[in-house]
Amino acid sequence: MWGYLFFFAVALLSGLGIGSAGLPVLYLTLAKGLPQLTAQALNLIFFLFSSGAALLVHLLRTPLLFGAIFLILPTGIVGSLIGTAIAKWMPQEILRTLFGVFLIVTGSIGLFKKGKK
Amino acid sequence: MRFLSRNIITVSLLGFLGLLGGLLNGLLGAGGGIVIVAGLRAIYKGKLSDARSVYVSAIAVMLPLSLVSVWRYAHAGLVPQAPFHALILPAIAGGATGALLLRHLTPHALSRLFAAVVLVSGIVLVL
Repeated sequence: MWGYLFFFAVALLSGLGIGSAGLPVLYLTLAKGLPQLTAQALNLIFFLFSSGAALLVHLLRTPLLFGAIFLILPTGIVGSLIGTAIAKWMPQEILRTLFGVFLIVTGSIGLFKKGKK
Repeated sequence: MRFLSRNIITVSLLGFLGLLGGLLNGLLGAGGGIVIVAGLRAIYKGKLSDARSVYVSAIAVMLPLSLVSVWRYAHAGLVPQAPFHALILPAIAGGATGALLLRHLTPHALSRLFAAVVLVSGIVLVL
C-alpha cells in the first residue's frame, strides 16, 4: 500500500514538472534492497509511464518547442548510449555515491535558488 | 553574420544539453530532465508565451532518451522479470493527475519542499 502511495506521489510531482529526482531509486535501494543498477532501470521504466501520461495531458494545452526537441534528441541518444555503457562498467558503490552527490547538488540548487512565487 | 553566430551558439548549446541530459539519464537513471529544463529555461528566457513549454518539451525529449536507456539496461539483463503493476499503475495515475493540477497550483512551495527532501536523501545515501 505504502509503495503505491509513494510512487503515486512521486509521479504527481513529475506531472507537475518538478520531477522525481530519482527518488524511486532511493526507495528501491534502501527500502526494497535492490541493487543500484536494477533500481535505476526500474526508475527509468517508472518515468516512461508517469511522464508519458503527463505528456498526453500537457499536449492538449501546452505548445512544444519542436526546434529545440529535434536539436537535443540526436546528441541525447548518443549521451544515453555512453551513459549506460559507463554505468555497466562502473562499480555499484561508486554509482551509488555519484547518485547521492547528484541528489545533494539538485536539492541544494532547488532549495537555495531564488525563484518566482 | 551576428544572426548566424547567435544561432550556431544556440544550436551548439542545445546539442550539448542533449549530450549531458542523455549521459545523466543513462549513467544514473535520473537527472537528465533537470539539466534539460534548466538549460531550456536559460536559452529561452523571456522568449516564451507559456513557460510550461519548457517542462513539457523536456518530457518530450526525455521519453525517447529513457527508452534508449531502458533498452540498454534490458540488454544487459538489469531489468527484473517481475510484475510492474506496483510501479506502473501509480505512475500513470500520478503523472496524469499532476499534469491536470499544474494549471491550478503554484509549484514554488512544492519545489522547495521537494528540494529539501532530495537534499536530505542525498546526504543519507552518501553517508
